[in-house]
Parts: sequence; C-alpha cells; structure tokens
Amino acid sequence: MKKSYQYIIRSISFGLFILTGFSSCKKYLDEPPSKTTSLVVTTTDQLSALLNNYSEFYAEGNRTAIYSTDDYELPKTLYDARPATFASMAHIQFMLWDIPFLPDDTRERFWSGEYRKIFYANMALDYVNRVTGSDADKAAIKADAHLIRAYSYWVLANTYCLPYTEANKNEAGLPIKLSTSFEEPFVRQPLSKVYELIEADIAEALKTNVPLVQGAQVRHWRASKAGVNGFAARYYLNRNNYAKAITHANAALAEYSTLVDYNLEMRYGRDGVITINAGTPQQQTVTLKFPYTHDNQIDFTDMLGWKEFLYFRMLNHESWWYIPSQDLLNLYDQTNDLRYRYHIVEGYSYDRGLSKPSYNYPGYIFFFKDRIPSGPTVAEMLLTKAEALARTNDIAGAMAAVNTLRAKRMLPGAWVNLSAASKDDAIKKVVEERRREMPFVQRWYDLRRYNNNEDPNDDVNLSKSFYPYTVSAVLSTQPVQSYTLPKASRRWAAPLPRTEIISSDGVIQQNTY
Amino acid sequence: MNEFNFGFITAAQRDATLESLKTLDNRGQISDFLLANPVNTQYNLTLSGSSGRMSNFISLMYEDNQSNFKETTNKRYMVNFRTNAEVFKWMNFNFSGMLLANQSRNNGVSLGDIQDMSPYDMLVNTDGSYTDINRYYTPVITRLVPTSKFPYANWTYNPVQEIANRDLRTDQLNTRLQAGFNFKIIKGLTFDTKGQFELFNTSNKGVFNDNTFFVRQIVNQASSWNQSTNAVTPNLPKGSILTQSRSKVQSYNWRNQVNYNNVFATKHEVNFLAGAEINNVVTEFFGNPTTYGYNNQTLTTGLFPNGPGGTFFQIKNWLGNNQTFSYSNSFSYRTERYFSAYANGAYTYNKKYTLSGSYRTDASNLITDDPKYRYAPFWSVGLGWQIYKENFMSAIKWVDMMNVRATFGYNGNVDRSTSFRPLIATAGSQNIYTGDYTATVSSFGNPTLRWEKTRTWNVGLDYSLFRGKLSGKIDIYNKYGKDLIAQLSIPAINGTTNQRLNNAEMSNKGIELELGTYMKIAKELTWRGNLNFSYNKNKIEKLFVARYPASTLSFGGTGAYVVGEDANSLWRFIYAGVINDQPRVVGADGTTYDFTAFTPGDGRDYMKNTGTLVAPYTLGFSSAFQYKDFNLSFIVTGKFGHIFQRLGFNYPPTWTSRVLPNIKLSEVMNGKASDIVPLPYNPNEGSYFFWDRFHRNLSYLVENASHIRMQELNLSYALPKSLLSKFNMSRLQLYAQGNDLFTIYANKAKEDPEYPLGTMNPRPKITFGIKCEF
Repeated sequence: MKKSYQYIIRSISFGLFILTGFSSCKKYLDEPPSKTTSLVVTTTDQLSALLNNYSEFYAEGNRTAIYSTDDYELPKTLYDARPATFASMAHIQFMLWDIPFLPDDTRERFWSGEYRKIFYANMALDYVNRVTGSDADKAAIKADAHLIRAYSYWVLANTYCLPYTEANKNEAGLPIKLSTSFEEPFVRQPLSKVYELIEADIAEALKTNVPLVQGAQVRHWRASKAGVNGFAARYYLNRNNYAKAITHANAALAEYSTLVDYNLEMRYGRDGVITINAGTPQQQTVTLKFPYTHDNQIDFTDMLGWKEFLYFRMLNHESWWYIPSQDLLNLYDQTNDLRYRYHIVEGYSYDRGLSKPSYNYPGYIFFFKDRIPSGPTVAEMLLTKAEALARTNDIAGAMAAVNTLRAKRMLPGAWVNLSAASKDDAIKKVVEERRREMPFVQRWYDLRRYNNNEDPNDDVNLSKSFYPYTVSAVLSTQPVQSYTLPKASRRWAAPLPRTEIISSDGVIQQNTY
Repeated sequence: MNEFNFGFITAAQRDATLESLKTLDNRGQISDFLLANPVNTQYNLTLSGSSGRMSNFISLMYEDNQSNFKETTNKRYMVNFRTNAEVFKWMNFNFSGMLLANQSRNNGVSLGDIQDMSPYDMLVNTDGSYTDINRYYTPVITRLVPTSKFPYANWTYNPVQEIANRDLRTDQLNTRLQAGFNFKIIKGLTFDTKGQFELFNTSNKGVFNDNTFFVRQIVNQASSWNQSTNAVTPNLPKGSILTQSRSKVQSYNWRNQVNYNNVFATKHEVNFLAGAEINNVVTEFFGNPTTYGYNNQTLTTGLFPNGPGGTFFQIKNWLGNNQTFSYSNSFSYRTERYFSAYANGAYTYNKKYTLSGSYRTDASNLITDDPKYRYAPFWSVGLGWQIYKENFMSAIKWVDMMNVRATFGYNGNVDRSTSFRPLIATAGSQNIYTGDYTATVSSFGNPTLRWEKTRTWNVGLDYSLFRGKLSGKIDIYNKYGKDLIAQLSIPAINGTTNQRLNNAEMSNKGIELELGTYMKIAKELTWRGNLNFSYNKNKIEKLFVARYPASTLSFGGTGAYVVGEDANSLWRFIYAGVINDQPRVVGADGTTYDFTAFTPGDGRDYMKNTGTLVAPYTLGFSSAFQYKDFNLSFIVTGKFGHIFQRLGFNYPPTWTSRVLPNIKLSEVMNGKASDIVPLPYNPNEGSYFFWDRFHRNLSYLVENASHIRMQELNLSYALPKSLLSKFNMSRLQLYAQGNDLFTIYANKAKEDPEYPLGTMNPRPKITFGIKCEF
C-alpha cells in the first residue's frame, strides 16, 4: 500500500536525518562566532598583534615612584594656598609613607596593571609553540614575552618588596605566575626566587636577534637587542654588579646611541595663557612656556617619535602635576641647563587651579601633563655606564660618559664638562646628574640601591614635614609634624592593596612593618 | 557674568542683560518649531479564501508615523502571504512569505538637544530670523577668532535651521520565507518538516549640507590656524558631509518534528512529540568612511586638500592639535549557530491522571575546547490530576472543572561572552602611529566555565466554579539557580580583577493567582472580568565577593549582588547633614565622610539597602462589558512593593558648557541643610565637581514606586447583521481606544517610577478605527 511505503520511507529518512544531524553537528557548531572578536589564537601574526599593542604595555601608574621620593615635595604653604587641588588622600599618604590607609585606596592600578602585562606575556609564551608561523617570528615573540615579564616583575619587586640583599633573600617577594591558568598558587614567593626568575627571563630575552632600527622605523615598543641590553644594564646596576652593567650598557649603545640634542631639537610648544586673580586689582595675564612634547595628549606621534627610547615605557600620573622639590630644583644650573628651561615649567600651579588667589610653583613636564619616559633610554645607558665606571674607580671613563650626555643637555660653555677629583667625588657627580636627567622615574629604585650597597656615602634618609592626616582628611588646623623614612625602614616596601589579600582569602599576605 | 568678572562689560550692562533674559521663555517656540503632534495612521487589507483542498491568505499593510519631533517620521509597508494546500490525503504543503519595508527619516532633534538649551535661548527672533544658540563661548570667538578667514564665516548654531538642512535616512528591508510539509503517516502519527529563511537589510545614509552647524563646525575646526600671522589653511573641502553604513542579517532555520497522539483501549491516551532544529544567523556590518565635500545633486565628492594627516605629514587643527582623518571602511562579521533536540510526552490514564515529561538539549557554536560542553541537556517531569472527574467530586455541583498539577525540572542558560580559553579581539586597521596591526585580550578565559542551571518546581490548581462565574488558577513555584554567572573579584595577579565566573546562586519563590468571571448582570448585559496577581521573592543565596566599594554598590548590576539580599537592591548613602561647612554622609563606626573623595572601606558597613527596584507584587485587571452591540473594556495594571529614586537637584558645576540647573532647585533653596544637600557654602568650592558621586546616591531621594496604571480603555460598536446584509458585508465594527490614560502614584513626589523626569513618558494615546469584513 502506498501509505505503508510512505511510512517506511519517511521513518527511514527521519532516522537518517537524526543520525546525520548529530554527526554533522560537531562540524556545524565548530564555526567560530566572529571573524574579528573572540578569536582563539592560532597564528604568530595574532600573537605579534597582541604584543604590538603598545597602549596595553607602556603605562606605569607607579604612585610610589611619583610621590614617595625626595624629588616630590608638597610644602605646607603650597597646600594651604588651595587644599582642594590636593584633595586626594592617597596623594598625601604616598608622600608621607603611610602604612595603615594606603591598602584601602580605591585608585590603585599599578599592581593590577603590571600583572595584566604579565598575563599577556604568559599567554604569548603559552601559545607560541602551538601556533603556526615562521621560527624567526616565534623566537621574536618568545624574547619579547620574556622581556615584558622580567620588566614587570622587576618594577613590582622594587616597589612592593624590600631591597634585595643577602639579609633580605627570604623576605616576602611576589606571587609568581607563569601561565594563564587561574589555579597557580597565590602565595608570595621569597625574594630570591623572584630575582632568579627575572634573571632567567633576561637571559632568554637576550637571545633575540631583532634589531631596534628596522628600515626607517625605530621600533622601541617591541623588544630588540638594544632594548633587552638596556633593561639588563638597569637590572645589573641595581644588583650592584657593575661589570655586567657596563657590558650591557655598552652593548646597547653600540647598537643605538642617538641622543636628542636639546640645543637643536628641543623647543617650546603651545604656550598656556592664564589670567590670574581675575576681577581683582592684581589681575594679570601669565604665559606658561611648555615644551613641544606637552602639546598632544592623545596623539602618540611625539611620544613614539622620542629618539632616545630603547624600550617604550612611561610613568603615568593621573593627577597631572609632578611637583618638583626644592632639593631637585636646586640641583639644576638654572641658567644653562636646558632640562631646567624646558621641563621645569614656571607658574604651572596656575594651570592646576591656584589662579585666584594665585600661588606660583613650578611643575615638571615631559609628555603632556602626565607622562615621563621610564623605559631604558640612551641617556640612562650613559648614566648607568658612568656610575658603574665611577664605582669601579675608572674616574676618567665615568666623566667622559657623563659629559657626552651633558653636551646634549646644556648650553655650550665651560660649565658643560664635569671633572672629579676622587672616586667618591665622581660617584657624587654622576648620581647628581642621574637625578637631574631622570627625576621621579628612577629615583625610588636608586634610593633603595644607594641605601643597601657597599658605599656608605650615598645613603639617604628621607624626611618631610606636613600636617597630620586621617583616612579621609588632612588635619590642617593642627601643627605640622615630621615624617621620616630612614634607610633601614621596612616601609621601603609599599603596602599591597587590601583587595588582593581579601580576594585570595588571606593567602597573599601583607608586608610586615 | 563671566564677561563682567573679566572686566569686559560694566555692572550696569550685566544687570541690563540679566533683566532682559529673565523675560524670555523658549518653551512656546520649541513646541512650534521643533515638536509635532504624534500621529500614526495604519491601513490594513486582508483577503482570504479557500477551496476544498487549498486555502490562501494575503494581507497588506501601510503605516505612516509622525513622531513627537518635527522631521522625524517613518513609513512601513508590509505584505504577508500564506497558503496551505492538501496535496495528497496524507501530505499537506504550506508556504508563507513576509516582506516588510521601513523607511525612516530622523532629521528632527532629540530630547537631549532640547535639554541642552537654557530656558531663555529663543529659537527665532521677532523678525523671523534664526538666533544663535551658542555652542562656543561666543565672546572669545568674536574677540579673538578671525571668523571671516575660515572656510565658513558663520559659526552659529540654530536647531530649527539644523533640522531643515540635514537628511538622515534609515531604510530597512526584511523578508521571511517559510515552507513546510506535513505528513500523516499512520493514525495519530504525523511528521512535520519546516524551513525558514530570513533576510534583514538595513542601510543608513546621512547627508548634512553646509547650512548645518555640523558641517561648518567640522570644516572650520579642522583648518590650521597660525595664530601669529592669522593665516588660515583649510584641511577639508567645503560642501555637504555624507555618512553611510549598512548591515545585513541572514538566517536560516530548519525544524523537523514528529507528533503522535492516540488513545488505546479508551483508557490510555498517549501524546508524544519529538523534534530537532538547527538555526544559523550571520550578521555583517559594513561601515563607510565619512565623505567630505559631497554634492548630493551631482554626486561628486571632495578630496583632502592636504592629505589625511598622520605620522609622515602632520596636520594641525585650529587649536594646534594633531589630527588625522579616517579614510578606511570598517567591517564586522558574526555567526551564531544553534542546534536543539527536544521531546515531550504525556500519558493520561482514564482521562484523569496524567504523567508527562520533557527533555531538550541545546547547543551553540560558542568557543570551547571540549565539544561536549556545547550541549546542555535539561529535563522536567510533571503530574496532573483532573480532580473534578473523580467520583467524590461529582457530588459537589458548584465545581465545573478543577485540575491539580505539579512539575519539577531543570532548565539552563549559557553565557556566550565567556570561554574556557583566553580570546583576543583584533583591530580593524593598522595603528596610525606605528603601522602595526594590534590586538587586545577580549576575554581572560574561564577554565571552570559551565552552564547555568535552574531547578524549578511548580504546583498549580486550575478551576472553574459556579458555571463559569469564577474561574482561574493558582500556581506556587520555587526556582533555584546554581552556577549563575556573576562578576566576581579575583586577585589581580591573574591579569584581571573581575571575571565572570559561575559562582552565584539565587532563589526565586512566589505565587501567581488568576481569578476570572463571566456572568450575565442583566438582560443583554454581560461582564467578563479577569484579575491576575503575582508575588515573587528573590534572594541571592551564595556569592563570594572580597569587598564592596561604595561606588560599586551604588552603581548596581551584578557587581552589587550581596548574599542574603534581593538581586535588584538599591544601595544608597545616608545624608548626615552639614559639618564644618561641608555636606557629609554617614560613615563606618560613627564617622562621616565628606564629598571630596571616594569613600573608603566596605560600603555595606555604612550604606543603606533602600529596597528592591523590581516590584515583588504585580497586578493586572481587565474587564469587558457587552451590552447589545456595544462593548466597553478596560485594562488596569499595578505594581507594588518596590522603590525608585526620584529626580533630585543636579548641582551643576562649571565645566566647559552651559550650567543648567534642573527643576528641583527650589527644594534645595527652600530646604534645610540638615535634610537636603545645600549649595556649597564656600563660593570657591574646589571639589564641587566631585559631588555628583554623592548627591545622586542619597537615600532621601528614594521613594515608594507603587503605582496603578489605566493601560487601555476601549469602546466598540458592531453594526447589527441585519443592516449589513444589505451591503453584502458580514461585519462592520467601529472602535475608539485610549491607552496610557492616567496613573495613580503612591510616592510623594508624584513622579512616574518607570519614566523618570527628564525622559519621555508615554502620553495618553487615542486611536479610532474601523474594521470591516466582506
């Protein structure tokens, strides 16, 4: 009968459909949902695209570096002129080496930002052996990931942990993450293990063959031989290994040694014009002279085009005012040092709200109002080399290196070349030059080094005087008191954010003070 | 006032200007020039017919809609066709097609544009010319900018002129085709197969001619202005600006289903169906770069006179900042694929006792290592008892029908935005500074990702009593969701501090009641009424979050889920009055915090959970009276037991545009500083801009959101058949309907909880219509 034929045919085809349906399901459902977002990494091009994204890597929001050194000062009279400009309590607390309140600060981004870069590096290392691509590309990606990881662990260790000495080898270091899994142990490893990892990563990164200059482009936002050597020089100077510091500094300079000549290539940019004391008899229009690097906030042409970068990192300051201390200002030859002319902007306080009633205080300005180069630069290589040479008693070599830099930073004249009478004098002169060249970005790390090396003459105990404060207010009705950070203090390690301790259920432990 | 402060005008001039501004009110002009009466007209024609073996249906619709704003309108055209043919006795074929075209023009202003004007900004002068509603600080422009040297000397903005000179169109074409076969195989067993294809194309085109401020501002501000020589170099061509984009959504769908219904030996009834379905949706988007110097008549475009900018040839805009013009297209492509298989069965014994069960599994093409993870099987079982058929119930005469039912089962959901492995998103074009292609991590990966599961049990009773005079149902349910995805905080060493993890558990318990009636009240007058009532209690049962900063709690969303509380709780600060000339909120342990910085610590210690934003009690009541040929019906809805935040004063600080205080200024001026946040005591209050993190989140703004709405009122009249037969009509009905007529509020501020002040609430809508059938 027709019907039973139909029945048989239909039920067979239905059965076939069900079977084929299920088996072709797998291929059918393997289609990726999107061509551009939510992609699984399968090629070296994709990993390179991740590492090319410099906006993910360049920023270091390290408020300890910004506020906690003697480069930064908030004098009582400046604060009194307009307390609302300095309303952020974290600002005051970092400046005065606070311990109880800082862990609760809600704007902490440095710890999480650096670990995010470590995640990217771990992801690249995880995938590099599984993706398709040329061996040269894979080697370049590996080296880059190792450099990113070494750099981030180094800045974290030098902010949140005590300085590395024989005595401190077993002090609490950092939680070490080497993969993208969320299951790795959170517990803080001892400092010795952290530094072993950093050295191992540097050794891996040094295997790269990628040149810094490719064609017409200086590709400093990716790891290159010069970039890795630059960071290695910084690392070994910080470990007081002067011989290796000199080797790596020379290697970096041999590949790339372009300096920006402030006499020829530095210029003013767009002026700021501010009316102070508007509406009163003291009303006046003031012109602020900014360097050209201040002009663009969002456009990266000037920042990427800065010729001295070996590796692209910048210190990032959300409150837009690096307040130079009187100490720092006094270090400069205010007539002849072009760094003073261009980077110390007189009257910057007017731009920060102190215009009525007006109060005059300068600000340190490099890129826009918030960024200063912090990655290894040619200038840093010269100063590292000079300091290492001075400390190993090669006074002439040290002064030659320093003067190479000074020639590009000072108006021509007799004052450009420094000379030193003895090893201690050479060290002192190089250290001062280093502070003039790189305020805020390197000072914290340098101070920790000076206080823990074999040389007692460069030790620094910090002290500031300011009002007392609570978790939410500055007690400006009470008399100022004095705050100190002596060289042996445990506060040279910044407190960890409390959210880490709570979200790890106490496995990550706070520093002990 | 600024001009006086800087000394450019005298005090007398300032006061004279202020006095004249006080007399101006632009609301009349706004409603004349920018607003329109919203009217919607719709025409429908339906033809249907059938022969013995085939039936057809076609309907045509045209709709013309004028919105509240002048120059914003849309037109819709729709054709629907269906046919059903009995090809053989055992096979039916059905086909349907739908075509919908929608053309909208969106030239009119938006609500935000109107709210950006000050009340004294008139639109049109007394002589009919357009005024300038400043978009710049005009005295600086007139004093310092050589406007005549720029490509367009006119720097003014007027919304009436703006909407008359731009043409923003969106055209949508949607077509859907369905075809299917239905086979009768043996008695009770049928097989259905159906396929559907749908295409949805949208194209957007916007042309702004150079009478619009939009064009003049872009071209002027893109010019390079050498301030020392006052030389101006244009960098964009003059002419209209064209923006275009389009998107295309294509989907196909194929479902097969087998149905079996049969009764064995009069006591055993079996109902069974099983099916499988696949679905594929592809969404593509194509964006075009902005075209400058466009002429809509001759269809010519302009060039960049100095190139598009970039690292190799920088162009500066009028203020000296670097600028680059984009000239690339943008694309996106998404594929979603779904597969489902399902089966439902029910066995009824003796027409009284039913056992039912259902099963389904769904799978999609989300990203996963393990294909098994794609599928999630869910099932449920149920029991039904038609209790009114029992012998012991037959004695109870007033029960017409009563059924008891119970179901228990699992249901689930998958989050497509997360995946096991870290995923990246690539940028559409090279970075303009480095020339490299870049990518970012779009998802950090959740290695423990799994489906969300909800376990539900439900007990219900359906009843009809007193011959239809009282009927309805009662349902009690308990739902428990496990492995629900919520944003959780994890240590930042993992690369991110927040990750969507399956760590939340939530319960929803409640009851739903329905009461209905149909009774004759008097001769020729019947009443049909229906009342729905429901109550739901929601609670977060399990969730671990390290700490709740006050700003996360007040923001809401899954970040504000707190164990033991309702998922939609509203957390707010408690105002503590003014101390030392600063307004403050209550803090932890008897302290107070001022408005100058984010508050420390855990927000739960000092903030108040003011209630839930979602109404636990809802009510719906509909009623229809039929008298002879007239029918009067209405629908009332109500929601109770929840809260909302009313509008407070907006404490506007001076930034870079107008300071526009809102309507609540009088309650601040007339109120006590200990009860309501006052204006700053310090005329130079430096942190005033920071106050909005606090004044928007205070508990005294929270009010009871209970309300009752008259949703619909409908009066219709059907002409008697005797009259109609003369015209060969079978039905003619006239109706008038009103929607959103009025609302009764429980809150003191008399604001509508669902449409806050400053948005557009639905206004009463009146519809008149005629339906006729031939």
